[in-house]
Amino acid sequence: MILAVAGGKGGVGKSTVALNLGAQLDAVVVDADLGMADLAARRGPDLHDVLAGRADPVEAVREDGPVALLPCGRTLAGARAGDVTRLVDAVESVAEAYGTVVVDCPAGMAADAGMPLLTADASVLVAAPQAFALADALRTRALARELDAGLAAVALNRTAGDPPTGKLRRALGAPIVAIPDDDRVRRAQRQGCPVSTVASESEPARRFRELAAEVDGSLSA
Amino acid sequence: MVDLDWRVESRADVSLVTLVVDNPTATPRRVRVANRLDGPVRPPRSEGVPESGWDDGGFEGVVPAGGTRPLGYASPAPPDEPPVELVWTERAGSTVSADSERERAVSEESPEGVVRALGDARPPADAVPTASPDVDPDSADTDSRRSP
Repeated sequence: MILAVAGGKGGVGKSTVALNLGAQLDAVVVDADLGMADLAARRGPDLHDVLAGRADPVEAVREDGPVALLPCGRTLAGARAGDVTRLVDAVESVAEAYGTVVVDCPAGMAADAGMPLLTADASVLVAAPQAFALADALRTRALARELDAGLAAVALNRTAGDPPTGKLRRALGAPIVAIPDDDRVRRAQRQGCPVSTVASESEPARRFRELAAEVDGSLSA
Repeated sequence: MVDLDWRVESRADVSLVTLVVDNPTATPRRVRVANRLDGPVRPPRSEGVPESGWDDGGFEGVVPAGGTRPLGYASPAPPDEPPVELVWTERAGSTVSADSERERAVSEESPEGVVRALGDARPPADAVPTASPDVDPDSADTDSRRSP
């Protein structure tokens, strides 16, 4: 199963949701943010090498972290050298070898954001709770639908107080899971860890489990 | 029947082939136009990927009923006459109506279709710092002297 974590807008927490969702679904997280990768990586082949035809996608998966990860390089030269059309085969090879793949999509609406949606079976949208972030979410949802990566759930990230989930549910037509703003999520993310490894009974950890259950439910339905 | 009008001209050792496929019949027809020049086909591109319908050997696509389809490509081969041939034509299915195509941002669900529709996201070549071997030897020397 291939799941794309998308969202149009940058800085809404796509990488955080991808990592935590990957942990819950026991998946490989592919960092497809080709120009601005932010999931921690050590030495070794990365997605830039895979897209340039220099490395095998399955061999580039690291299993030594808390979540299996296909990291992405951070150089402009690497981002320039790769052929984004290879992403589809790369992600499918990893899914064949590992079962479940969560793809962390880049921001924007260019080909690098569209390619993961083309290969995905379903998508999770990450949106900020501000009204202006909704327009990007709607555009990304339209593209995901067109590329047959139907919307499984929406993660409303870093909410405070009582977010308008009912209204959003009607606007976006998918289950909304609000993930409260919590410093433990950020601290865990900096170490490349899902929040469940540092605070498994915290509210955010519980909400990520809920998000994973929504994804499972929508895919089995 | 389907009619093919061609013109070929040579500029800087590249042959430029201009084509018009004319379909005077009352049904849309799918056609295949093959390159006959002694060289590879350089098809028109969007965002770095060949336009829909083009492959190594030529073009395949639908010409609407009573309509024409202009085409063109280049080849690094000497001009020859005729530069192309109409290999086959057949009645095109009517499953793809103009209506269903209208609202779509990505008209073709393939990796190349996504790149064509959404645009190449790679950083521009000018933004990528190039390795400058002329500058480095000095600093490399200093480094090697410094290291034990």
